[in-house]
Amino acid sequence: MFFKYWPLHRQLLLAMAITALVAIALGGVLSSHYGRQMLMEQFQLRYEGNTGILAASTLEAVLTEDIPLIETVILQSKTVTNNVVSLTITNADREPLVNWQNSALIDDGSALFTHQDYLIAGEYFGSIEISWSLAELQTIANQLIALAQLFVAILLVILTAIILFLVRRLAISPLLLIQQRLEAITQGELVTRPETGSSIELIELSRSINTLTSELRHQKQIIATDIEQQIAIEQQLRAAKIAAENSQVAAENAARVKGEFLANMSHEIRTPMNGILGMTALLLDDQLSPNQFERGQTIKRSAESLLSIINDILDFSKMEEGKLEIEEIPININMVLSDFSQLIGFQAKEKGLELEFPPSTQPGPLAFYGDPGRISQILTNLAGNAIKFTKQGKIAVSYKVINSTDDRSLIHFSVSDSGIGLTDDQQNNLFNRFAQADTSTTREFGGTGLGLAISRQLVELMGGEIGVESELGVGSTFWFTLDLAHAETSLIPKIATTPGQLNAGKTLQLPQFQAKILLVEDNHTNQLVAFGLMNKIGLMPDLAINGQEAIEAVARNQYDLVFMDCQMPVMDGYAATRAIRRNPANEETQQIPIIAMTANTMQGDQERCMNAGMNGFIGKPFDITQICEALDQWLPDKKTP
Amino acid sequence: MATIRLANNSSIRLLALTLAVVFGTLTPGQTKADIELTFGLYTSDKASVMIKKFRKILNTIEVALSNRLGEPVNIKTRVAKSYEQGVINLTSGKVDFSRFGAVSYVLAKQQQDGITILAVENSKGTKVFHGHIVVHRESRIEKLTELRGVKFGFGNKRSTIGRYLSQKVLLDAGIIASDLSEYDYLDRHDKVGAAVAAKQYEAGAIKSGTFQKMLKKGAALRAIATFDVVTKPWIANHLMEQRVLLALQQTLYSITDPEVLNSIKKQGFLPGNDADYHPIRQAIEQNPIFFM
Repeated sequence: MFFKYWPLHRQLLLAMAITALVAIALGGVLSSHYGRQMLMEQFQLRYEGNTGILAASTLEAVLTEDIPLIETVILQSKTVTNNVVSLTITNADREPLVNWQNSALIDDGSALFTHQDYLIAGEYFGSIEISWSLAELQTIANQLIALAQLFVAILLVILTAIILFLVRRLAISPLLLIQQRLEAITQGELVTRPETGSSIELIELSRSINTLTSELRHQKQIIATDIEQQIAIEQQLRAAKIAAENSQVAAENAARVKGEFLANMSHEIRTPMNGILGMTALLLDDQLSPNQFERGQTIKRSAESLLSIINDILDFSKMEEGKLEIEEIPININMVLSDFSQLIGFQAKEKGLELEFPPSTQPGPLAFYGDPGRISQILTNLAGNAIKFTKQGKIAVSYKVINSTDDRSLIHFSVSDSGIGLTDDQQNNLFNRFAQADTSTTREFGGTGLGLAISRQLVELMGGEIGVESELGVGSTFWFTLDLAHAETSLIPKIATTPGQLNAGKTLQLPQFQAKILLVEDNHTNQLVAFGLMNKIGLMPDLAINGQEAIEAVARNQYDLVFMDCQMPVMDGYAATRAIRRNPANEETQQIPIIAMTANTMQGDQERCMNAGMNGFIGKPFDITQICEALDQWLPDKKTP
Repeated sequence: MATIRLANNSSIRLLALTLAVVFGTLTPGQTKADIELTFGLYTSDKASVMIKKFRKILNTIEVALSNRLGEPVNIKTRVAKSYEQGVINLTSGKVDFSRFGAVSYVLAKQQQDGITILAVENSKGTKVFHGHIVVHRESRIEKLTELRGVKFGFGNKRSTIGRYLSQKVLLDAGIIASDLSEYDYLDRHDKVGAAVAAKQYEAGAIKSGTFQKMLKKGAALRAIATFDVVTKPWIANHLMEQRVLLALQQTLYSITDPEVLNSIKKQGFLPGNDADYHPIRQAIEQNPIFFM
């Protein structure tokens, strides 16, 4: 209701006004009813008395039937002239003696009748019958009712005023004071005041407010203390957070600097290594004396060993930084082993060892989600060690599915050799970093001792285990397991991302191509290596020394394929590739195969090249087989018979 | 007893009308009677006093007469406001029988000779009582002849004692109206006695009953002359049945109950006749001489 927002005294005033009006109305009705009834009874008694008086006054005249006297008596009576509407007096024979009508009064049908017989000693001498006007009664009744209502109204107004005064003094005013106190409390004025009030309830309320005030003051103190402590803690936390953020920033900066350093190291090392290995390979293809060929082979092995060491160091650094990431792409285990076999086959053949790949007899899918490069790296490490520590005999590489569910399989890989074998102590420390069987091993067989540690790390990252079973002087079997999810065979990419179309032990026969190739390379040594290798397969590429020249050359000439370095002055290979792909003037150039040929081989570099629009990726240092594979894939019709 | 009814109360009106029809002319205390008689009075005193005074004896007469006639008799009272009216009521038949003063009887007899004296009142064993010419007790007047030149108070102009017989007494003493210094008719005997006792009048005429009563009350009166007056007759009009008249006459004679008779301050009734009122008739006839 709308008046619930009224002040209490106004609501009380309204309630009492309504009560007063009802009481006045009710009082009016009751006083009207009962007052009229009482007046009627009084008038009855009064008119009966007046009738008796008139009867007595006229008795003698009636007895003697002295009509003039009767009329005189009647007309002399003010009671009669003022209040009587009509009057009839009859004699003993009931014959009318007087029949008087008061013309000043109108008989409205509400008159009061009185009647009295003239009796003397029981003898009837006539009667008097009077019709009395009730006008006077009505007037008096109305006046009395009005007076009663006025009295009740005045009484109620006075009572209302008194009650309102008392309510305001005893209840509202103390409540307003309490409200002011509560507002003061909300403003923070937590002061205890004397407990006052006009009634026990208000005193109790005042006491409760004092209790509330004391409690709030206490709570405020506690809160203030808590806030101070909180502020101190927050300051400490903020300082710690800032310190942590600073540390994190410093660490991130350090990690970023270290990562950039590693990337630069990788790039800067691979670039000259590409020159060394490339030039060595070209040199060995020249007409050399046996002594010169032997020395050239020594340079090549030394360079490959150095490259392996550098790769291991870079991987280990990544693992230390936690940046070594594992891919999960659809792979075919047999294809991975095939690529691996081509890679390791030359080494085994050079050492006169037999390399076996017994076929797996285990049923199950061959397609899984995994990282083919890392699996090949583990196998290469294990097989490389086997070749290194085996003087004669054979190396066997195999795999089998040892446990399979609907969606996953646990695959067991093993590399067995007939080498020198290991003692138990040597086996226990074998997978620790920088650990080899003994120092003499380093002296005899070389190596950094990082290969097995890296393999262990990679296996664990792929959710597997790695181990060795060995007998000293008999040989060793290194194994590892991988828990791989099943994949659809159709998802296996046809692109070979690892080197090798060559079977192990097979003599390299280079194919010949007739195609117009653009080599984009800023480094002079690498230009020479690339030219030398491509010349060996019948190609005479054009040269652009930066991305800008490459764009211009592509615009001028119609090339079948572009080998694109990535990191170059003026314009790098990424920007140049994007510009060629976006060239609206020549749709053919937009479709030209562009193969990255870069020393940026860190994680994500290949993806970055693909995102720029390149079609393939050859990391430095590269060899002739990688170039042939790219040409086989993208220019199969340019291959000469 | 008064009753109240409201004009707009139709049911009460209907009830009252029904009651009026059922009970007709009956009044409280009355019963339906075969013989209705009306007793006539005139106002020698207040009418209501007169009615009360005679009601008891009338009730006695009703009972006795009913017994004599063998049928119910009801007697109503009718009070005339004057002697003349009382005479007219009797002679016209409005009343069946009346109690008149002597003068009234003589006048009525003159108007209607058929009226009959039923009985005369017994005053201490006789049908005579006395009237007095009174003076103040300290008055120098001792005899009637000394009344010349005095202020005299008479009673009612139609009164037997108050006028006709007292003026006849004065006339017999040789005093006529002109001998008096002043005279007035003071209507009632008590007023005359009081006026003389108060020396407002030097002499006056009153009946012996009033004189004795006033003396007992200490009124300073003294009688200088006394004269006889025949008691009042009860008279039947000329229309009354003879059997009723005789029965009524016998009834009056038979009333001996002292309590009843005491109500009219008489001792009973005696037979009377017209001759008893010759002195009165003579006084009336000679009265004009008093004023010559």
